Amino acid sequence: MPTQDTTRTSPVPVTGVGVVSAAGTSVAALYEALLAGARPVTVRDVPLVAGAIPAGPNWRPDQDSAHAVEAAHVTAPLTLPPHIDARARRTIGRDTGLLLSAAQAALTTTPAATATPATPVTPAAEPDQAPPATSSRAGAAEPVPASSPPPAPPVPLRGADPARIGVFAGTLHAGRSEYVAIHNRAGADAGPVNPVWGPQSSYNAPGAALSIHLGLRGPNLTLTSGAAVGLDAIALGVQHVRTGRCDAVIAGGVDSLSAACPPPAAGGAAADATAASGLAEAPAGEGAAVVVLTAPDGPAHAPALAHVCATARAYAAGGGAAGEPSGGRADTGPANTGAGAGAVPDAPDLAEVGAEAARAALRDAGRAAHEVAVAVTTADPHTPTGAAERAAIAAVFGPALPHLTAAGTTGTTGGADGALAFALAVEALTRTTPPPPTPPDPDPNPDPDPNSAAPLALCLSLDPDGAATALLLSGPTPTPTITPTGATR
Amino acid sequence: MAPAVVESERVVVTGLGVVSPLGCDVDRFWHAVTSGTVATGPVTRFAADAYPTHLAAEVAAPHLTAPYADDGTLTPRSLRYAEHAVRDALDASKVLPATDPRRVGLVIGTVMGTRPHLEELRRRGADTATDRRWDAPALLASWPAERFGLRGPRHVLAAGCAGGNTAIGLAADLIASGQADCVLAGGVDELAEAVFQLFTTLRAVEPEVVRPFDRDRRGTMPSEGAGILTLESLAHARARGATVIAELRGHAMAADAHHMTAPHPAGDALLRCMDESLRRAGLTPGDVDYVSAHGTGTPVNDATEAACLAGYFGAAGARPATSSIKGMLGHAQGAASALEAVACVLAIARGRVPGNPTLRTVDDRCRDLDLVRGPARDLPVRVALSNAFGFGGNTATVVFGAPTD
Repeated sequence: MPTQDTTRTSPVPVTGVGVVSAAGTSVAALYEALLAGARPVTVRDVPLVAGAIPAGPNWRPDQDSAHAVEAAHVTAPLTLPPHIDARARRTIGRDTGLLLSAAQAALTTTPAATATPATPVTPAAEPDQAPPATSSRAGAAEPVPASSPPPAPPVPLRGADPARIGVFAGTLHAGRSEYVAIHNRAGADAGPVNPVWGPQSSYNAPGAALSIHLGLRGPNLTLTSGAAVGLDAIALGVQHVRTGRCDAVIAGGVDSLSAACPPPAAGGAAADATAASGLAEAPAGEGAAVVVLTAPDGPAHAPALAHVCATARAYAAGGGAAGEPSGGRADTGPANTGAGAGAVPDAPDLAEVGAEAARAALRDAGRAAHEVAVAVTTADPHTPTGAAERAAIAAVFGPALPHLTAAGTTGTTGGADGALAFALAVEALTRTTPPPPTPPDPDPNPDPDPNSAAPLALCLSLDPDGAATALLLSGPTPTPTITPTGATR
Repeated sequence: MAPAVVESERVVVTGLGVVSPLGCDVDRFWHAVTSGTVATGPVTRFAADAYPTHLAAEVAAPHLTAPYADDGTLTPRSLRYAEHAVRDALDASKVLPATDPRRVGLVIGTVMGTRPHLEELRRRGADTATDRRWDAPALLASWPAERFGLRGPRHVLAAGCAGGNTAIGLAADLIASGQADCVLAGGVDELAEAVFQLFTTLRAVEPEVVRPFDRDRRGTMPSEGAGILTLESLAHARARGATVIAELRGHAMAADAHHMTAPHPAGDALLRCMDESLRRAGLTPGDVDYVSAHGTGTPVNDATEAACLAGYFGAAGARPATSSIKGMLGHAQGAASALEAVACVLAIARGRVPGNPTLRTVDDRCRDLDLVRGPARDLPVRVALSNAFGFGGNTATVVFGAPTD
């Protein structure tokens, strides 16, 4: 008879968090910037791709760039795993660089701990050539002396078998710049295509790069199905730890600004129209967030920053009768990223889907709404989706629950939004002073909450297409959960 | 003793749907893939004159491939492929309207999503910076979900060319964990000039005919299509009296963690995926009757894969019949392993396995395999295993078995 995996029902520890955003390269910096109402929007050029090569004698390096892009750019230098060699650093795509940098931050818990691959990283080679027989530890100017001990594995993963460490990424647009760069060179006399663009032009490239550069050989996939993918990737990682498929997981989301689809240029007519309409306040942004999840009883041991108590997903009802096409056309679908065509749920329906997901997460964890001290959502509050998220939170937890949304500070990134929200939730739980209620609590002397010593955080991400993802988190000290894994609805 | 898996956690196949250069209905596809039909030929979708090779495999169904759909809309081909294959899989399974649509989901694997639509828009002078239908992979699931009223869990995922198998595995997990009773799962990809270009720059394109495991093989050819399987819990299928075609006995995914384009020289992830998927199925290598190989036709892939298969099965004293349908279909990217999964299910149902019709002289490094020569072999298939490997090192294996009741 077939076998099934052992199911873990305990909350899943979060043992590392790394963030790269317009606010900086730490989740603490993002949290402080968010509370301060910072809007780190800058104007910069966005190159189309790394590893640009001349298309012809008159080619200029900047001619494929998008110029004067006003957005929430990541301006801080990216800190990649130190073993990545100089050649690879020059050709790593922006998406991959952001995700690797966030992963490096998540895995580096002490100055002495560095991320190290389990197998040597070989330089990029033609696919039908065997890799070189020898290779140095990438990133070092000289090969590591044979007498030196191998670098220690990252603290959060120490002790775990790399074949049982999974990688789950979420993105909406990874690889699009490389895809466009390739197609820009289509046809005769259009110029050569850099071979490094090819494998980086697909959605799975950043997630795959995590496995290659960190030596993680367990399950690996990238979700690209909607605005909640950053949170969905983490939820999938939680499920893989709970079902015993993995002893640890690196999960997160990423998206970058692209010269192929730049936001309106600073001072341009489109930007003025957007500002005048007041419809969407959050700028476009880029960023990445990565979390480390480890099995509570697994071989990897590291202090927990927080715990994931439950994951839940809900979907909107409505649309056509079952089995019959209900209309809806892709050519009239919204131009927004990750949005589906056809019958998009109304905002009130979307709020109900979000509330349903939040309630399901509470129910699955056996917890009550009053135990939640903070909610973190993803969408720009000035959009219908953002309004629906706020309405969902208010419906379940009341209007006074402190509520964080990073979009105004990080910009709307796409694939990173959900993961950034999760990172903020973890940070909020580690703070002794909770964020201020939104709106201010009308009762200045509320009764003390008997559970305030162990508050919870709820992350909620809605997709305009009618899907909602909710994750419930508790703090560093694990609290018992009642319900087994995997239930939604 | 390992605990028995309850019926609600066992996953079966009750329907199939395909869009492929070898046909856009299951029977036509099966006939072609078991009669040695080679679908690769001159590229017509875009001008290939500037490239050293000019061959690929294209879907030959104007209502699915014409730039404008019948109603005058410019719908991405990838969406039309997804819709067609999902419709056929739904119709074949008859899961609707008998099932609560909130319990019917979709999981689609893809390499490029809707990105190839960029090329069509450019041909028509559209502003691709503002018209972003070319970069909306979520539509691959939400489009058919909305068309057919499916309200269950849905995901679009990317795992390189292992996307189809990975989607099947994730769909099975959704069913086994109780999040859905039925999931339409598989893979979709559209032929793209950019993909043709990137294969060309990697020197991985065959100039004549794709010949997996052949001594003189030189590469693969890009292809396209969609493969969709209707997966259900066995309990749900039995309760509604559905016809079970096969059972998804096991699945596994892993990462090579080696290189963005080259496979691990020892096939590390491939070996672990085969072992774990069979272990989860409660099976041994000796139980496998047919292996659908990844078999792209590139020198490195086929040699590495052949060594892995021979070593893994040989150690158990087994030598299952092996073939790669990429010799006939080319490499359909995210749809490839989904179409190969369809072929595995049909092999079980019909007692015949596709052959390697383009194989002329077996590479010495592949001689330890029982490579099916010619168009097909009649063979009772109780267990079929299918491997998939993608750029980035994503690897996934699925194992199908004959219905037990």
